[in-house]
Amino acid sequence: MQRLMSSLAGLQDIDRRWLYLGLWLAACLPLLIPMRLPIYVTPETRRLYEFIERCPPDKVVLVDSAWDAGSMGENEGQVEVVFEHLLRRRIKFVVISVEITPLGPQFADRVIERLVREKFPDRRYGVDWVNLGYTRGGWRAMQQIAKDIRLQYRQDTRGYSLDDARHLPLMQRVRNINDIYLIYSVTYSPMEDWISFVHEVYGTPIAFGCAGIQSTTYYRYLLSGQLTGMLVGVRGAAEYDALLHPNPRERTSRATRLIVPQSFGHLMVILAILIGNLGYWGARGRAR
Amino acid sequence: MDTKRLLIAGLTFITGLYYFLEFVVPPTVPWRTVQGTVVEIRADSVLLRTDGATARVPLQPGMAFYRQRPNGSYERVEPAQLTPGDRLRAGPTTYLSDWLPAVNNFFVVLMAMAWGMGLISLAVVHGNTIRRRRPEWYNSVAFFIAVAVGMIAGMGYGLPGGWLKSVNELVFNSMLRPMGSTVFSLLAFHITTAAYRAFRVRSAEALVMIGAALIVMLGQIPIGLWLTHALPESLWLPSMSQWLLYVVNTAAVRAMWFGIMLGAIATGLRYWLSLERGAFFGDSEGR
Repeated sequence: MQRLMSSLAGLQDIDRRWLYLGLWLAACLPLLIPMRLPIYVTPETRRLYEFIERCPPDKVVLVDSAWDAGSMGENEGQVEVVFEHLLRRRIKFVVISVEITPLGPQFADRVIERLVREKFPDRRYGVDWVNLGYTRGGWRAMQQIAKDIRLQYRQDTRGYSLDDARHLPLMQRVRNINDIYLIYSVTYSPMEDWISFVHEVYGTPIAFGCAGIQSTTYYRYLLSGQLTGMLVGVRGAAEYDALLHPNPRERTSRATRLIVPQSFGHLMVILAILIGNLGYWGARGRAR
Repeated sequence: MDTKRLLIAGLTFITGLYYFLEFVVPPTVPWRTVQGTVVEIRADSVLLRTDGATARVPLQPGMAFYRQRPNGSYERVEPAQLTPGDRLRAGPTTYLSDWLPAVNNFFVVLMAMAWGMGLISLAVVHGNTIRRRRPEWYNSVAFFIAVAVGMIAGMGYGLPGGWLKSVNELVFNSMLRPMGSTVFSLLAFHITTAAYRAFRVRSAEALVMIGAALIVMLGQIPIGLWLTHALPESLWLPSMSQWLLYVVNTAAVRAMWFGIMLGAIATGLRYWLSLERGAFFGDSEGR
């Protein structure tokens, strides 16, 4: 028994580089060996999908795409699936990026342009979507956008005036919050100011796309109805992709590709916790 | 109190006072405000039906009209936007809400200027390092090069083509994106070693925590469903994970945020009234 405990205690002293190697293999192998896993669609994802399905033709969706390379792993899939849904249903959308990162608009452009090139070649900038770019100001900017979008933005990221009907026909019918059906804010940790300063004042539905680790603080808004839906990390985006494409063979989004490596990464962390505790119990047993 | 601190305290109080008053003072003078349903819009007035009676609201400078939205909140409208049947609240303006866009714009511009201030401050620090040939001064040269390249690349965003666009794509796609992702992905390696070294079952509470963590971690990934799909749905790991997140987690987070917000109100008041002390408030010794 003492020998067993000593062996287990040795598990406390594994060189961290073995753990790094284990995680690297767990993340890389599923990318090399394609495999599919069943997807459980959570209520917060389904609510967002169904809400967008009900969007009337005269309204637009405002997408606050405020993420960059740091959280690309989680956020890119979240905007990709929603952009695909909007483009497929021909629901017009306006992209903005409030406060968090000035790189947000360019990352959003990259995703939209790829979707248009590969799946929706007939959709046109200025007609089906517009990117207004980055703005500072936090909740003050949100208030201005709600009152009159032209108070905060004079031109889009291409330099066209918002009143330029030839290049931006879409913006001629987007004036203020009354024209917006849903605000979808995607970033590592979305600003709750959208709820306080827009949803509570105007009643406009809000949805979030956030990193998995940040999601725990937002469930309370789902329960209270202040959030219409939420995509949680890669998992939420993969669930949304499953709703968009009931046939698993048609799921090509980044989130669907990443959910398997992420699953094995989680397993690796769980394994590390178990090994660490076995070592701890072994050391305690040996000391007795 | 010296002049600089007095000025900062005074400005902080005045700007805070504006937002406080804008929040508590109604947008129209309460005792002269009429509320009702629009019956008719004339050239010089709006007729409202209020509790069986009819009220005439003159169209004159200083009058504000707020139309009720379907969700119950009110929006400021011009008389020309009104139609019969609208629920309306009209009266002489108290001006505070009218100034909100201008005050907001002022702060948006001020916050944007903070970026410029930061850049100037960095340029001064790195410029001094280069001029005095301090150790590792070449890193400061790299800073100036990076800022210059970043600014040039930024100018290429949104252009249809040309060399500026090429620089933008090079910096954005080949440098910023992979470097940013790489730095952030290191977190996964740190989390794994931290979990291995720190997450120990030393008490019953730790056991409960580790149990909840394992359920949520497995419930968040498809493998959780794959492992338990043969069981009744309520015993699926994703179902149990959802219950933990929606019920147990929400209760804990609400309690935590209640405390945090009470603290934030107290701290906000201290900032507003300039009662806060420390290095950021003019006291270099942090008293």
